This record gives sequence, structure tokens and C-alpha cells, in this order.
Amino acid sequence: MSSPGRFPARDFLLAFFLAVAVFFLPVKDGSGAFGSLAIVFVSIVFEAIPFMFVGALIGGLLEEFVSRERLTALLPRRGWLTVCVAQMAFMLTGPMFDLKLLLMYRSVFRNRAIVVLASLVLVAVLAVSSAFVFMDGLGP
Amino acid sequence: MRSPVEFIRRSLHPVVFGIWTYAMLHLLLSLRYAAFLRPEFGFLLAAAHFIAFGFMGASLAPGRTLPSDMSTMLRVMVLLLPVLYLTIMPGDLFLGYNAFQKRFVGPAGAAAARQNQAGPPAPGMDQPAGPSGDGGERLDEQAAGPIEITLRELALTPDLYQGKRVAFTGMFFRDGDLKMHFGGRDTAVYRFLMTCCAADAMPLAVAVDAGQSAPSRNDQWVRVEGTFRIEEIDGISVPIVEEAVVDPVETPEMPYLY
Repeated sequence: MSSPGRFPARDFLLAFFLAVAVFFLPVKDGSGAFGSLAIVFVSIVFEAIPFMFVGALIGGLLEEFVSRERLTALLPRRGWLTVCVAQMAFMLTGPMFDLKLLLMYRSVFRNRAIVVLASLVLVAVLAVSSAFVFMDGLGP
Repeated sequence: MRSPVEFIRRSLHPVVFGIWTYAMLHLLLSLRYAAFLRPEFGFLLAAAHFIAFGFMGASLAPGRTLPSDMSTMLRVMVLLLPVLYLTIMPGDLFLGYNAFQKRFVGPAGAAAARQNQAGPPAPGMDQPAGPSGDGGERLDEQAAGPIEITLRELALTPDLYQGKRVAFTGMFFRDGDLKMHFGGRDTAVYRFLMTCCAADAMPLAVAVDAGQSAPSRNDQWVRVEGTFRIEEIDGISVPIVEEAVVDPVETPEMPYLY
């Protein structure tokens, strides 16, 4: 927590980021490095922004319409189980929000039901392979 | 009467979401978003536009204010930074030779493109007389003249055009570094193939034996007409257009391939 009148470290980082970003504004440089940087920066933002807004909307709806008690009651009481449930929820939805994976599924499978099934299979493969590595001590 | 600080505190939220709403609407209506994303992802941007519009409406509700301290102002500026970039960026700014030099991994990169691009091109995009669908018949029909094609088609099915006279558009590039990829040739015509967004766009390039007819400026859009051939150099299939005639053309409406 920052005391009044002080400039917090987080704000220094933001100010530094802004200064660098303004310095790299593609004012003069056409197809050079600054231009490429600007295009890549903006394209990544526009790729992410729909999911950021959807996430903010879902988060806001949960915050407004689902009480914390109700949400807590839905989750397991043990802390590590809650983490596992949250991880599984992410694993189930995460791949569906990856544009590259969506394209890959679409090109391989024309049937929408198979696309959903394929993402679930992918999640299952990820879960099983992770469990295999960690349980059998095969990791580094 | 409200003080300026109070006005700023009340209007920051709606202004930020309003600017984003307008920016996304502009991108969608002008189709400029295709310079950053695959055209199929326009619906995602449209969804984001409506959500941002909803956020703007919700933030206009009475009693909603933001602190007007430096930290809030910095965060607002960070949120608006991409829009600032978009505003200042020239409308005809696309990935060019700089990105080509960074991303070109040689003619073998076309093989990766083949794997990523199993599906047909995006609807409404560049769809010349390629081999997909009725391509074979079209090739016969155009046997008299050059086959109008894109670099995507050449990368996906080069064997189909072996020894044939083809014509395509792309960006001109001449650099000594190309010699190691193209068997001593320093001239290529390339175009970026976008899989998902501009950040992952990969250049598809064909070596061009153009002689003196080639333009001198890199990144000049050109139409190449010549005989396509695949040459095996050190075990790598190198696409080459021989006896090429290279003519400068206007930048196409969709500079990228999808």
C-alpha cells in the first residue's frame, strides 16, 4: 500500500512503459522495425481484447449476481481441491479460447460436436500427461 | 456547478469505453481489422464492441466515479495506448521487409504453411484460379496465358504449377542474404500468410530471375509473370520464377494472405 504523496513502484513501471511505448510510436518509420512493432502490438491487443472483455463481463456478472457464500459453497472445502477445480475449469475452457487451436480444429473437423469433443480430448491428454510426469517423478 | 476534477472522475470510465467502442466499430466497418487479424475473427471484435458499448452505458449510471489520482490516469493512458497506436499508424502500414528479414526461415517455411493452412482461404479473400475445387479445369482454360495465382497457392501445391507460366502479386525484396536460401539469387517476391494475427504471419517467398526489369525499391508491390519451377538445392525444394517480368502495381486491398 502506498502512502499519500509517494509515487508507487507500480506507477513507475506504468509510466516507464508509457514513455517507451510513446517513443516507439510509428510516426515516421514505414515498414521498418517501428512499423512492425506497432502492427504486432496492436494485433496482439486486438486478438486478446474480445476475451478480456468477455472475461470482465463474466466476472462482473458473477460479482453482482452470485454471492460469495454461494460461490464458496460450490467449491470444495479443501484448499488444494479448490485449486484443482479452478485449474480444471481453466483447462476445460482455455483451449476453446485459443484462436490458433480453434483454426486447427476447424480445419481438421467440420462437425462442431467433434470440435468440442476434440478440445475435451486435448484437455484429457494434457491432464493425463501432466499426472504421468508428476506422479512418476519423470520431471526434472 | 461541478468542479473539473469531479467531471474527470465521472467521465473517465465512459470515455475509455466510448473510445474503444468507436475504435472497434471503425475497424469493423472499414475492414481495417483484417490488417491485424484473420477476417473470420471479425465476429469476436464485434462481440467485444457490443460489450464495450454495454460497459460504457453501465458506467454512465449516476454515482459511478473513478479516483482522479496519477495511478488512475496512468492506467487510463495504458488502456488507450493501442487506440493511440491505431490512430497514428498510417492506414497503409503493413508488415514489410523488416518483418520478412526477421521471420523468413527459407523456402522450407512453406511446408509449415502447408500444415497450418489445411482449410480453404477465408471467404471473400484473395481466391484466384487455384488448384482448390475446379483448379485443374481452370489451369487448362488458362493454358494460353499465365495462370493468375497467389503465393499461397504456390506454397500449398507447387507441383501443380511446375513448368507453367504463372502470374501473382507480392512485395519485391532484394538482399544479399537471400542468396543462401535461393541458390545464389538475391531477389524474391513475398507475401505474408496470416494464420491467426499479424504477430504470427509468416512470409511466403519465391525467388525471381528478373534481370533488369525489376524495381529497385524494396517492399514495392509488384506483379510477377514468369515460368515457375522447383529447383532442388541441398535437399531443399526452392521455388523459382524464371524469365520473370516484374511490373509495379498498387497495394492490394488485402495485402496479407489468409
